[in-house]
Amino acid sequence: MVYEFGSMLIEKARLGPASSASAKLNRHKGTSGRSITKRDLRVPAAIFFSTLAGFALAATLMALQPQGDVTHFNERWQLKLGQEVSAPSASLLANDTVQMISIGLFAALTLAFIAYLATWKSREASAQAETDDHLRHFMKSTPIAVAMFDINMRYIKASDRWFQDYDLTEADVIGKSHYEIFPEVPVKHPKWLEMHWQAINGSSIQSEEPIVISADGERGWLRYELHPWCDDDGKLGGVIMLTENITARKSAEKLKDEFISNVNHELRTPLTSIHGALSLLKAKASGNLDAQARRLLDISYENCIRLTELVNDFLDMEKIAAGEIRVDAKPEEMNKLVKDVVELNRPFATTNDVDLEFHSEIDEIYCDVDANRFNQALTNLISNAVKFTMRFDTVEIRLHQNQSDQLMISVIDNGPGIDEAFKEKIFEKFTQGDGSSTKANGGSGLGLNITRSIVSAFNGEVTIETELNSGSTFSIVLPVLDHEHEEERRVA
Amino acid sequence: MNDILQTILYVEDDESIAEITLLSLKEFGNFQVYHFYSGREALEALPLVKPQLVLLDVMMPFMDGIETLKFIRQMPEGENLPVIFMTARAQTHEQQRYLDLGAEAVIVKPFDPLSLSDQLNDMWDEIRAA
Repeated sequence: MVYEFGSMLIEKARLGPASSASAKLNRHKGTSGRSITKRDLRVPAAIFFSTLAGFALAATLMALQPQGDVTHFNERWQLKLGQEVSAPSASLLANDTVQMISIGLFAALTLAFIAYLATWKSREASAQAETDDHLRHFMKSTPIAVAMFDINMRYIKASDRWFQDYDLTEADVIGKSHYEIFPEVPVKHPKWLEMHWQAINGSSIQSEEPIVISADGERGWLRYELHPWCDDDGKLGGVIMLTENITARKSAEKLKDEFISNVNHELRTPLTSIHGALSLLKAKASGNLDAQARRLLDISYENCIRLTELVNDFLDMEKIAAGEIRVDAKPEEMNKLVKDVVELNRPFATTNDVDLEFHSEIDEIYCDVDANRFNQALTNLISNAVKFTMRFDTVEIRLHQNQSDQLMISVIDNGPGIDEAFKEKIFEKFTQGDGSSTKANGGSGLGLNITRSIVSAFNGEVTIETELNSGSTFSIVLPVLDHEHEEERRVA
Repeated sequence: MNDILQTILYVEDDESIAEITLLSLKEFGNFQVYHFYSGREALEALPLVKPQLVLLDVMMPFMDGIETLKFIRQMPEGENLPVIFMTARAQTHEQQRYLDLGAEAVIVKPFDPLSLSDQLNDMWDEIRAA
């Protein structure tokens, strides 16, 4: 079956894991930490033997030269210069020996240098061959379809997986234009042309998108990346293109989403009945019940709420784990936003006989946040504070800036505080103060973990200051937006 | 369009949930509610009931809420009829899908039966204002 995506055709049967490629995977020794090999001894050996040969040559020359000849040599030399012939002396003899040794040394060094150059060249060539070998094996074994193009989109190099996915051979493409190989690209898929052009001009592009994967119109998913590459001088050399058929992964994700959606529905449906019935019973009929029955009704209702929160939190956790938590961040004036969240939480606080006090030390301040998600994060902190605060006490929500000019939204309670040893664990999943508090105060044990994940998505953090028996201060710390600058940029 | 929400066509296949919803709307609201257990029954009754608003479950056998909504939109009485989904299948992308299909709002199950009537009245005010 043949797949068509964007511009290209690929064989379906070849889209699976590159088993053939991995089967042929060659293992290579790394260069770091290896032992000394024969190749490493070539250069010193060549120098040593060349030096030896030079001295041997000098010694031979000396041995072949008779003693008398030394004098004649000097005589001839001096006669040529028109000087008187003098008797040979011991110093002259010594001078000639030095000359012969010098010649020997010179010859030895010359030979050694030549040998060194030859060995160096050979070593360079062998290193190059090794690099080429590694590159060849890399291109052969890499499990991704990747190709390198010059600035005219001519193929320079491509991985075997690329050839497999697009039913090509190296001989088919190297040196040829991508548009010659896939002539439909300029005609049917101008978007790809545009992306190639952007990459050639220095932009990196990466995306995932649905594609047509068969002549029957079957749909699939393609992940692709386009990156510019530069030569050693930093000059743009062309494009590296990477493609991956992610249809199987997307199908698995879809199945998982459906499963979660079904579980969610199946849990919520009976919860709706239980929650609804208990709510109505509490509101309309609890007055007719004796104290013990009312208490049992309260327990049922509270645990129903807890179960509902757990289902909600599980869904959020799943989204966070999958990186699917949607954060539609935009500049928000934080005084108003925080005040709104406080008001939303006031009925819950009032039910628990706890007062909420909002204080701001800043007139107007903007942060890049998703209002709904921020509401969720701050609500988690406020509801925790309310749960751990004694009746008729107050939870303070304070807006201020720290020394780094970041915005701090602090939720301050006078509750039991958290043991120092437990402080670090408080953001972990299914963790609350201690076991007994968990049971007494309800909640899923996921709230703080979710809060931290949400605040992280705003490039912020959640901090905690606490002292046992004195209370806790949880703060959402957010980078402040230069709103005026942002406005100007937007208008421009 | 009437200022006050009075007539609601309610479609829900789960008997327990339907009972609680009806009790809630009766106790805390002042509506005339017509309840049907399936989309098909609701579609047949629509021209007779002439509701101001449809409260529609999503997961129902034979004809789900989405399909029911599509049929409602094809009927002269239902072309501009406000429809609110009340469903347990309400992940963010699912809610968005319902809105894209033309639903006015989504109430997520489990809902609060004590405030459901207020919620519907508020939504009605928003629909009228839009």
